[in-house]
Amino acid sequence: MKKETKTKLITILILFVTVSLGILTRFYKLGEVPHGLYLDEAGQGYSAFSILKTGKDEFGMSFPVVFRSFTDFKTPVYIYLISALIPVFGLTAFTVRFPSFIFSILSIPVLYLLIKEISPNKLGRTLGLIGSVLISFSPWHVLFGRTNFECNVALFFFLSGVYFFYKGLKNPKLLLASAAMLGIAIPAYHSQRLITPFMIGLLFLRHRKKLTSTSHRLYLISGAILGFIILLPTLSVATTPGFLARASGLNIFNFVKFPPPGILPDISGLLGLIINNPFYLSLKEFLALYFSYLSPRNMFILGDYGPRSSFPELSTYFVWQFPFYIYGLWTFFKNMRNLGELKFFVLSLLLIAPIPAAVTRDPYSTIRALPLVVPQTIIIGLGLIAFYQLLRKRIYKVLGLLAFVVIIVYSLARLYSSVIILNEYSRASFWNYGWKEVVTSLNTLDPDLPVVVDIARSEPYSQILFYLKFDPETYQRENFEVSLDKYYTDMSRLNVRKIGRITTKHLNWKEELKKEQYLVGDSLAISDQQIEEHGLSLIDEIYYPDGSVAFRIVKTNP
Amino acid sequence: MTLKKIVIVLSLILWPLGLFLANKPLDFLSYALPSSLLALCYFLYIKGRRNLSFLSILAIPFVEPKLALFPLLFVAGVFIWKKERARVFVLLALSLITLLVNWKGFRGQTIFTPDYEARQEVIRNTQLYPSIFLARLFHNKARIYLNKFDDNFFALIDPNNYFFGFHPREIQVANQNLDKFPFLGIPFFLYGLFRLSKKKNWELTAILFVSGLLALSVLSSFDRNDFILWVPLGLILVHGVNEFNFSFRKRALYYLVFSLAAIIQIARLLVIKL
Repeated sequence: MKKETKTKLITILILFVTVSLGILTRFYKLGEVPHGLYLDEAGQGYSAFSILKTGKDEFGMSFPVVFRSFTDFKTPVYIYLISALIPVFGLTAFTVRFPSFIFSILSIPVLYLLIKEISPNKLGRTLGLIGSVLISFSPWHVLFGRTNFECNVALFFFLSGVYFFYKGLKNPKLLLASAAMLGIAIPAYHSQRLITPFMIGLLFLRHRKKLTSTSHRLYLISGAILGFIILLPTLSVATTPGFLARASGLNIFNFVKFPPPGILPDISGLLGLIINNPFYLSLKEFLALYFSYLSPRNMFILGDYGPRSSFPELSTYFVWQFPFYIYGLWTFFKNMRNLGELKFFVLSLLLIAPIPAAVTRDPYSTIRALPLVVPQTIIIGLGLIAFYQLLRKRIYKVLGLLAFVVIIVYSLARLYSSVIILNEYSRASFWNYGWKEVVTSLNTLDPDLPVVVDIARSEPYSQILFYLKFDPETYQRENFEVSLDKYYTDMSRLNVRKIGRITTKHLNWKEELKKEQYLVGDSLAISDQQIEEHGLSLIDEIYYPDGSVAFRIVKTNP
Repeated sequence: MTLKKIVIVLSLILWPLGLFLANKPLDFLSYALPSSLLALCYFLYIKGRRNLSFLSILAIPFVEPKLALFPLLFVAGVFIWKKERARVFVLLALSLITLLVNWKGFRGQTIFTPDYEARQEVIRNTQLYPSIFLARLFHNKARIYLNKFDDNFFALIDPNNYFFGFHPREIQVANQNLDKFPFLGIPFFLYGLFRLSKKKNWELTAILFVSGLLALSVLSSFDRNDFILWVPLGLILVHGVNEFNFSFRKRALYYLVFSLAAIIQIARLLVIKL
């Protein structure tokens, strides 16, 4: 067998093992863990169900460009993907998380191909394989590959777009594929609205000579037109308050809504103008947020503060990767001149990826900065390779490889510990655990009695619709929020929703006690004291895995 | 005074000024003295008075027993780097004696003090696992200490700690969250770090930083005592300004913007604390 064929076979084998590892970490108990279904997940699932059944979302809008949902206007790509899956898998938690899973897996070989394409010849294959191995069990990437978050789907299209761009430099026809992929990436997730155009701009500037040469010009123009056509629906609503809802709601430069931190209210006049300068304070906050994405403390210890965008006792990277990250950075900057296109890609993405996240208030938001996982993983990979090259003797090399395998096994065990055990025990409430059980319980009760569900601390209507698989046409008819011409502009919300015999609203004890009906609420809404005081009959209690009460179903006795 | 010198002064003044204003003068003195001894060590070293410079390091635990591990780590660092074996063995023995003399004051301030709550959490978490081996692998006494060490270590190497007092919206608990260097000094610091090997006596700067980092990481609370890092970090930052001066022609504008922002930062500090 030729050496080249042998190398190819080994590469395919490692890539196969890597993808299998990726499937193992993401597919095991997919849809079951995290137990529960967060309201956004259920909302997206029901919007997709509604689109599939009626061609309209739950508000009656035909094929929306961005989905109104909880007036946070969700990106469309993920929801349409769920629509396509419902006929196959039904409306289940598995289905709404499946697109994340599948695109997360597809990103692994795409990352390998991209790294191989842009790295110097000697490094390409090894770094590509190491990069894809690391991403296959990366806590950051795994989390968004097991749960319903649009960012992973967007990352796949982004990486594919960049890969086809580089391929397109050699074979200009592929610029069309690049344009299509990047065109889909932009509406696929909020932060890609900034990252992708920035990256396109930088790629164009860097390769402008080649792109504007006679061989490429036609495809460049065709690609631009194709991208424009894909983006046309998005552009048509780009200036509406709905489209900008996320950006304006979280933007640190929105001084009216959120005064910058550090304002000294007692200081006015000229001194106040200087030391309370909003530009100065916001610049400081922006830079603090920006650097938090490059901070080893966040990367290796703290992770994301959000209970749904992190796993307990696990950060975005494993602590053992820290020395390799530092060594990788050293190697990267030391050999920068020899890294060619890899240098450009890593540096560009390292600098661009934190921007959309850094203009929002939340510190270290891993959802918004997900593309950062790519350059940082490449750097860790570089560190690992450089370390391996330090091992001179064959025995040391073998021991080094063995140690790497042991570390992978340890990391998998740590993932299991965090994702399957600790997360389930301590974070079930954050994943809105219990609504499936509530709906199941309600289905067994007297069907003639009305049900009131409290919304004091949550908006469970999406979960109730989801688990009941409630007829979308009936829901659209009985619940009017805004007229369709104000779908993208009117931010008012409906406080009372009718789902058959179920009403979701704030509990008003005086009103609710007048008639015989079931009430549903958490242990604060329906406490032991209230049960006793109002003479309620306790029908059912749903418990979190830690044994505390999640929800209570009671019956009034007027 | 040239613009470069103004930049250097503004870069270095923020941490001591902030620490002074945030604490009682006597307390400030107890944080500033170890740092002064460190600065003295560096000064004597570059003047060729090595024995004296090492002695100033040995004096640190007597001023602040919490830093009793520092001389030992420093001497170990010199041993690894410089291989000055004969001198180092004597110093190693002396720093060990120093550690033992200050052991009582040191031990109670470290991450190794018993933590009842953490132990209860370990016991609770181990109940959740299907296998004892897996439970013990991730939840054990050693991990309590390791986690505390990691928390300190990574906080001490966090650029946000030094330039932004951690995050602007991070809640202040046991930490004073002081801005230690002007936030627009980050490019100088990173550039200084990148070109550290071009600095004269860079090994000493690195040893001072690493031994300070490790000595602080074993403390239950490193806040305020981390002022000993002002010397090595300040040296790197100043080196960065110097290198910046050589490498970039159009630096004056950035110097001006930096100075303006640093003056606002100092003014804010004075207004808040006075």
